[in-house]
Amino acid sequence: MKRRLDRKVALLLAGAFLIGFLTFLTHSYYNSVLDRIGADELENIRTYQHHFVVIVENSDLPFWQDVVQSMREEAERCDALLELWGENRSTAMEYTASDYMDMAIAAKVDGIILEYTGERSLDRKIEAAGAYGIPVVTVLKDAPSTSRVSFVGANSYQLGQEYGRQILDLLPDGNDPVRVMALLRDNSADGSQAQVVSQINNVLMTEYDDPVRIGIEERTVSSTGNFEVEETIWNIFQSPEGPPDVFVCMDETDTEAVYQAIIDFNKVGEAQVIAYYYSDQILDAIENGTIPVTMVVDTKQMGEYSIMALTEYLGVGRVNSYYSVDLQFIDSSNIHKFREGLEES
Amino acid sequence: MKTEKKKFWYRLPLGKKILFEVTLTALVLFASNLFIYWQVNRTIQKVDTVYATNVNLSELSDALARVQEDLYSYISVQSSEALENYYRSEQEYTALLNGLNQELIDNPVKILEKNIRNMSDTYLHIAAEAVQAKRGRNVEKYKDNYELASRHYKYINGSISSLNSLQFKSNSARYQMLRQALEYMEIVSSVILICVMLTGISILMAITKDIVNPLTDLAHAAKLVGQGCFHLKMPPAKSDDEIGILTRTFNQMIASLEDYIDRIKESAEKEQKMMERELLMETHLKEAQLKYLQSQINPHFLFNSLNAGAQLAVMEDAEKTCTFLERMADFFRYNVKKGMEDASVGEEVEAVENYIYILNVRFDGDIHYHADIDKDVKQIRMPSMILQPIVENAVNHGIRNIEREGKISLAIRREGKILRMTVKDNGKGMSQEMIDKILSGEPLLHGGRNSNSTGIGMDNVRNRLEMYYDCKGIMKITSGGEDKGTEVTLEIPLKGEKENVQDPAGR
Repeated sequence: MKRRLDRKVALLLAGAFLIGFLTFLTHSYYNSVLDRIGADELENIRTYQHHFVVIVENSDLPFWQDVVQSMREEAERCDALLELWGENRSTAMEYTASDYMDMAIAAKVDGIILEYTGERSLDRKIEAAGAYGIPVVTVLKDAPSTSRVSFVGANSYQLGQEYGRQILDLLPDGNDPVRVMALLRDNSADGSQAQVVSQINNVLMTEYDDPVRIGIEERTVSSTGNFEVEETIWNIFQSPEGPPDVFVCMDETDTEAVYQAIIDFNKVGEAQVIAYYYSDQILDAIENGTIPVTMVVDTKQMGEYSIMALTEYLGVGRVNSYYSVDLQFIDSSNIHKFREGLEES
Repeated sequence: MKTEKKKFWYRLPLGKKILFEVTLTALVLFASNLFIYWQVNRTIQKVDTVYATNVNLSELSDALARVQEDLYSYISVQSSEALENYYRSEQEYTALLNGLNQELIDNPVKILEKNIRNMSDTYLHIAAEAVQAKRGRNVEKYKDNYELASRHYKYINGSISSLNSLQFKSNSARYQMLRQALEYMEIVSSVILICVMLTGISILMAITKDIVNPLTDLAHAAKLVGQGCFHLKMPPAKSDDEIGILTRTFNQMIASLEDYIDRIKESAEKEQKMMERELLMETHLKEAQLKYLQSQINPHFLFNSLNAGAQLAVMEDAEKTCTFLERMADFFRYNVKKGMEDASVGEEVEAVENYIYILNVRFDGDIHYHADIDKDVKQIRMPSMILQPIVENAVNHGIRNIEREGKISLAIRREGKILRMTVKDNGKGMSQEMIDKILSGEPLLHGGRNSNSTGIGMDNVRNRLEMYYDCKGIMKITSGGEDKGTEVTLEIPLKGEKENVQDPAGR
């Protein structure tokens, strides 16, 4: 009988324990779930000192992604909160850089980093920002006539010279005339890109015996509208005189469009392109010879310097008006080293 | 405390025990359910709060829209009512704005809130300037400002939209989590309920076993007791409930049964003993009677003495005396000899003749005897001391003390399978009553021994006949009635090699 009683009591205790345990488990699980839901809001309670905004035309490009990555790292170090505007061309609310400038000014940010595209309206926005005490740093392309506090990019003078020399390297032997076409993104007369072209001219004039042989053309590719680039390139290829012998691209999208057109129109070997920045496709093309050379700027420096410029201005009220960023030309000779360098970082 | 609890549990009657356990199970189930409902409620409340942020943003958006509308209506109409409306909606919107974040926190939601707040400040500033300009009738200024305000309104709406989407996405994620949690909850709560149910049921089963097992044991024990095993004892029940009472009562019953049966056995034994003793006594009595009888006569002495007397008579030339004494000796010798074994018919007849001779001498030839015997029957065996007692009976009860001449006839005839022996007398006769008495075996009490009797009565004869031939109805008695004489018939079956049944009168 005692055995039987003990079994009953044991059963009761076991049951009670199991139930209690399960209940406790449920309860704690629930609490954790609810906490997790509530805690979303307050995960990062770190506050910053400055609020910066980066406005670029097409942030999808790998070039800008690398630049912005570097910017974020620097911003983190400088206790600044960085916002990237201009995301996702495909899903954007169709705001232009001008709109973003307005928004940044209305939002009373502490600093703006702008990829200047050459539009007149942007000039006014930069001025307006300055009027409200918001420093603007232009990056990659400069707007020197505005009140922007600093420019971070490749030295257009130096860039032009380098481009010129690269073109000279690409010239086919012989005496046939050579057409060189530079694709520009902005039409500002004193814009950096204009400077580049003039320097190319300079180099070709001074460092080549037969400068008359080479004809430099400029073609502006519109920066508004989504699909203009490809149309423009196709028009070039389908024009009666055909594509030029050398393309100088100063934009990734342009590079891709030209490269694709060369393949589509079967002009590999006939039309050469000096590419802009790099992607896996471009690097592969360099390795197999379809693209002779590409120009790569140091995106890390670009990011760092732009943030540094803003923080310095906010800190001491003055800043360098120009930060030069290193550039290098990648061709088949140094592509492996470059690739190794990429893998290390 | 434990013993207290145990005592309490044991004293609880069965019904209350089950009720208690079932109630407990029900309560636990109820509590589990409550707990689950509570959890579910908490979760649903959380779900509500999850989407509260979106609701708030909608409010904000609506308030902003109202500001814009009222601005537009004032700009276009410039009524004081419109102005009032504008101020009111501006206040409402400002109030809502205060709920937005202003800090520089690295969280997309917080950043958007800050931007919206600052942009709204700018917007309201521009709107206020537009209103001022309108009041001051500065057409160009208010038009420009209104354009600007509208543009900013668009930007702010865009941001609110983005924030809404952002919140919605994260809310959806949280909602998913909650849904999943609810699903897990379903499973866990089912598990908990099943556990509770199983525990409750198994405890109930244990209690039921506690009830049923003693009962089956009891039934089994009862069966064994029914088969005669009285040493069984149910283990004493500890509980005071109905089962305990039953077990204890059962044990008492077995003990009482045992007792009772022992007592019956005892009394049966006693009775048996008594009967045996009675029987023994009867036997001893009979033995004593016989011994008494035998001790009275030492037959050898008797007929040796008689023989001696006969010799004396011969020496004194008393022939009749000698014959008489010789015949007496023969008769007594026969009596003694044949006490042990059976005799032939001839021997029996001779015994009868001797007896008659003796009597005739005593009574001076009063008894006339006639024998009619078949020739070839004299060798047939029959029990001894049969005919003589019958004849004696006829003499004593039939022809004694009658005035006429007493006649006794003996007839022995072989009739097929039967030997018919008839002893007829012409004496007093017997009433049918008397006949029945004799034949039924009732001992005839004559108040002491008859001086003329050899001591062997009719029923002894009948008994021995019946025992010898192993069948009844051998002796038949008929009588014409009073004074009409009596006839005693023996129908002896002739069976050839019939084994000798030991004569019970002898040893």
